[in-house]
Amino acid sequence: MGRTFFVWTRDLHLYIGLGLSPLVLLFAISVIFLDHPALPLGGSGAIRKSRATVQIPENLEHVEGMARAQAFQQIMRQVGAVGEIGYIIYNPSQHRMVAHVFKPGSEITLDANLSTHTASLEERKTGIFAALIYLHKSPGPHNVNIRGNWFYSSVWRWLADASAYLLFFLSASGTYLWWVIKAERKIGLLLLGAGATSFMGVIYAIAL
Amino acid sequence: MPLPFDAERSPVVVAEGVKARRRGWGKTIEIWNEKLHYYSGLYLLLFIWLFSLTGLVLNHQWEIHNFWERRKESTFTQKVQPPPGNSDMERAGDLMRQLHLRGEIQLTDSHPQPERFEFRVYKPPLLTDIRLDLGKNEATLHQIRVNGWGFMEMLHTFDVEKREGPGAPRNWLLSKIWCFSMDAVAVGFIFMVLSSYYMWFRLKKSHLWGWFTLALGFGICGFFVAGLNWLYRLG
Repeated sequence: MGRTFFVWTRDLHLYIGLGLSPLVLLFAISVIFLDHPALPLGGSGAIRKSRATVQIPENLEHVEGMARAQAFQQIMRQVGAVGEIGYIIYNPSQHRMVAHVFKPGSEITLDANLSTHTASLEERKTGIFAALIYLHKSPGPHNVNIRGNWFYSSVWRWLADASAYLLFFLSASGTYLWWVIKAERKIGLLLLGAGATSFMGVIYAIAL
Repeated sequence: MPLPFDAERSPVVVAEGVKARRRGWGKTIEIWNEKLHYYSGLYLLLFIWLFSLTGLVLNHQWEIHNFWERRKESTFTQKVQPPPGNSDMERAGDLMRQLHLRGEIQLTDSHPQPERFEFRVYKPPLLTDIRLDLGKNEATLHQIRVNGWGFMEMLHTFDVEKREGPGAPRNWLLSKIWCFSMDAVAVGFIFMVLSSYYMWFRLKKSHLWGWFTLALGFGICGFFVAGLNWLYRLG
């Protein structure tokens, strides 16, 4: 029984760890780019602009939240813009609605004039490392009422959650796999204590 | 007949010796790779739990996330000496000394006025907005204190927004230390991933399932990092 449990835990730790490893690398590498703003993000900085006549959904000005995001996506489809609407700025006096649309590696500003039925689009290539940062911060705590307005953003939310839950499993199973090696308990406990001390020490110093 | 120390070793013996040494090195690397894998995991355990938990909290509107609605605010004024210094950062530093404040300075005044000086001091779980009236030499402090959940969330994002924010270098020793800790956790994660690849390769005779899960992980990740942008590129 003990042996079977050990082998299963070891193999689950191994295969879940291997499957999760690209996501762990994504989160870890993006932290370094978030921490060091001087590092280049790899974007070409190329900007693409276009302008088109569009049909404005009837209810666009009268709905809010997710309903407005979904209505605005009808305009996006007409100009070929795809991605998660980060936020929408509505200027009722000018009958304009500006949406900032994000997908990993690109940002789109779509400015819709509801009076003239025209939409101006500006797309900026942000680069591979900016894509990592975007994914790291998605979905995030902002504008939650419209978050997940793009299918792939919802899938990513699920993956990000799964990464966190599976990291708990990996840390728990890893701790068990270390604990069964009796010869390593002493040094392991010392390192666990050292880690806990430095963690609590820094947090205490910040909060003091 | 040559003496033992004059004799040349046969090629077979030499080859076996090299193999044995290689096996020895391989074993040593394998052992230390495994040791360092779980040593780093144990050292970083609490950091991993903090960032995993706060990552979940940031992505969900759970009840515990409503720390902002439960914040405590207070405002008070205090007489101060006019802060000396040639830069806003020096003046802010001097004012903090007078007001007995600690933390990371964020210069927030986007519309500077000659009779007013504003900045923010960020020290989880406390945010302090300072407005100095240079005519009256009076500082108004507006403080916001969040609860433990808010504190943990602030630690997740503490001072990593420089890329989008004012861009000034970090100016508080503890924010530098915390950012170094986050870097160390990131490097630790990268090391643990790479060492796990080596362990898997040495541990298993058949690598089929390993390759499958690894390819699945990289495929999904690559799809989100580069594939989506390629798939939905404009014109």
